[in-house]
Amino acid sequence: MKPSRYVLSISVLLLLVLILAIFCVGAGAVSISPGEVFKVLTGAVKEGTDYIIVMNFRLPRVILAALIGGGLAAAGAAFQGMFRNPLADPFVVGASGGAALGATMAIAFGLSIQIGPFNSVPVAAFIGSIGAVFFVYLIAESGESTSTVSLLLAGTALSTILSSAVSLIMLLSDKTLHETYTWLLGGLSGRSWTDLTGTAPFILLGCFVLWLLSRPLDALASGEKTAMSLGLPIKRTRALIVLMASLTTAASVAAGGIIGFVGLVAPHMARLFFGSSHRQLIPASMLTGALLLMAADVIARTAVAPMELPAGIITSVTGGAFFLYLLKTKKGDLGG
Amino acid sequence: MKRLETENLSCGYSGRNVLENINLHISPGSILGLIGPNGAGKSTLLNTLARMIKPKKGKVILASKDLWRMSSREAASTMAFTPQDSGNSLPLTIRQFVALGRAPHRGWLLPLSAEDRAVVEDALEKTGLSGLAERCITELSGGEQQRAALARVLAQEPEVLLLDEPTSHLDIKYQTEILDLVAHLAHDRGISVIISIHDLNTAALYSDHLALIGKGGIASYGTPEEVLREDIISEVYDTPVIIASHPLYGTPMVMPGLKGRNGKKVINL
Repeated sequence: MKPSRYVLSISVLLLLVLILAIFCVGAGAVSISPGEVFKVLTGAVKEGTDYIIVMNFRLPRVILAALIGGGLAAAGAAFQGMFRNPLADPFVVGASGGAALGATMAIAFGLSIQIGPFNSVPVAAFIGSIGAVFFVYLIAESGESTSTVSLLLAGTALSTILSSAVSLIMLLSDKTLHETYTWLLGGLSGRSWTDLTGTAPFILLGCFVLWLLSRPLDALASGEKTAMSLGLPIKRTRALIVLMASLTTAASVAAGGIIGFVGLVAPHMARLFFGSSHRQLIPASMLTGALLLMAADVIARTAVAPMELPAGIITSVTGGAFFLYLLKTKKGDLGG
Repeated sequence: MKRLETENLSCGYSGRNVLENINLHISPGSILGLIGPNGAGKSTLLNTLARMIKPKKGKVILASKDLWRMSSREAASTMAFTPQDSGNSLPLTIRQFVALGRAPHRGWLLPLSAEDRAVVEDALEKTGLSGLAERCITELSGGEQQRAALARVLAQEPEVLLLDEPTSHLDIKYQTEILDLVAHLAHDRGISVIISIHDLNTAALYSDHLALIGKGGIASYGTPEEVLREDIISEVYDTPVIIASHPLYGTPMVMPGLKGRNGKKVINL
C-alpha cells in the first residue's frame, strides 16, 4: 500500500484500538460510561470508586491485553514471513511447550522462584519458553543443512515431547489440575500493573526489533536463496528474528498463559488490508492483535459474570472460525 | 578483463563432489550458457558461483577478489543471482519485491532514497512491469514471475548476473521475451551473464560461449559452433543427434537423431 494511504489506514486502526480500550475499561460488573472513563484517563477525576476501578483494576488489564495481543501478532507475522508458511504462529519453535512445562512444574511442585515482584509461575513459564526455543534453535542449526525447515521440524518435535511431559505431571498431581489447566488455556484474570510493567519492556523491545528487521523479513519471505543472493547474513538474521519473536512470545505467555490463535490470525487479517511488506504488516498486525485480545478479554470477563472464562478459549473459537472463513474465501492467500 | 573466473574449482554437496577442476571465466558484456544433461551439475555450479554453497576445492574470483573473502554484502553489490523456482509464498507486490534488489547498496535498515526508487522504477520499466507494479507477485503468470525476478536483479545493478534456468516452464513467446531482455542487458549495459538453459537451440541462439557440463566437469567449452557438434552432444547426452543450422542466424540447431520415431519415415538421406 502507498505510504500516504498506509499512514491513514494505520491511524484509523490505532483510533479503533483506543476506542475499544475505553469501552473495555468501562465494561464490567460495575459499568462505567465512556465519558467517565475518559475523565479518569485525562486526569479530570482523581478519586472515587470509578477512579479506583479504572486505575487499579481495569486499565492495567486492558493495556496488558493490548500488549500481549500485539506482541503475539508481531511474532506470528515475523514467523510466517521467515518460514514462508501461513500456518506459522508464535509457538512454532517451541515457546508455548516450554512455557507450559515451566508453569506446570511451578504449580504442581509448588516451586518458589521469586524474581522481583514476580512469583514462580510467570518466571518458570518465561524461563521454560526461552529454554525450549534455545534448544530447538541449537538442534536445528547444528546440522549441515541450514534450512529453516529444520527449525520448524525441531520445534514441532520438541513441542510434542514437552506437552507429553505436561500431561504426565498433570496426571500425577491431580490436586493442582484445575489451576494448571486454567493457566494453560490462557487468560488475564487478576492481572495488575506489576504484570504489565514486567512484561512491557520485553514485548516492546521484541516488536521494535522485528519491525526494524522488516526488509530482511521481506527478503526471507521471497526465498532463502534470494535472501542470500541479496547479501543478507542469513544465519545471524534468522537467529535475531527467532530471539526477538521468542522474547516477545515468552513475555506474553508468562503474563497471560497460552493464548491461542491471536498470533496466527491477526497477521492474516492485517495482510488483507495492508499487504505483505513487513514494514507495514508488523505494525498493522500488532494493532489487529491488540483489538482481538482486548475484545476477547472483555467477553471473557463479562459473558458469564461473575464467573470468568479463559480469554484463550474465546480467541481460539473466534480465531478458528475466522481462519475457516479465510480458507473458504481464499482471501488471505493461505498457502499462496 | 575477467569479471568472474574459477580456479580449479571443485564443487558439490556434503561429501560428494559433483564437478571437479572447473576453470571458467567471463568478460564484460558477454553471455556464457551452461548446458548439460539432467543432473550433470549446472545448478550446483551456478549455486557455487553465486556464493550459495562453499567450493570443495579451488576458488571463485569475482572482480579480481576471492569470493569467499568478500563480505556477502560486497559480493551482492557486484553479483546478482536468480535461483530456480524462487516462488514467493507471501504476496509482496512486484514493486516491493523489486525494491529488495537495492538492499546490497542501501543496507537493510535505512529506507530507500529517491535515487534507489528511480532505479527500481527503471527496472520495472525495462521489464515491462510498470503497469503491474502494485499487483501481488503470487498472482502473476510464469512469464511475469520470471520478468519480476529479472527486474529484481536489475535493480541490484550487478556487473555479473547468474541466472538458473530462467526460461524453464515458459512457452516460446515468454522464452524469447526473457532472453531478448538478458541479451540487451549483456550487450547494452555490459553485464556479464552466466545462464543455465535446458534447451540447446535457445542456448546456441543467445550465448556467446557455451560450457557443456557433463562427466563431472566441463566436457566441452567454446562458441556454440564449437560445442554443439554431433559427436560431442551424442556422447555427453548419450543419444544420437543431428545438427543443422538456424535458417536466419546460422547458429547450430540440435535435433534428435536416428532411432524409431513413432513410425516416421526417414526422408532426404
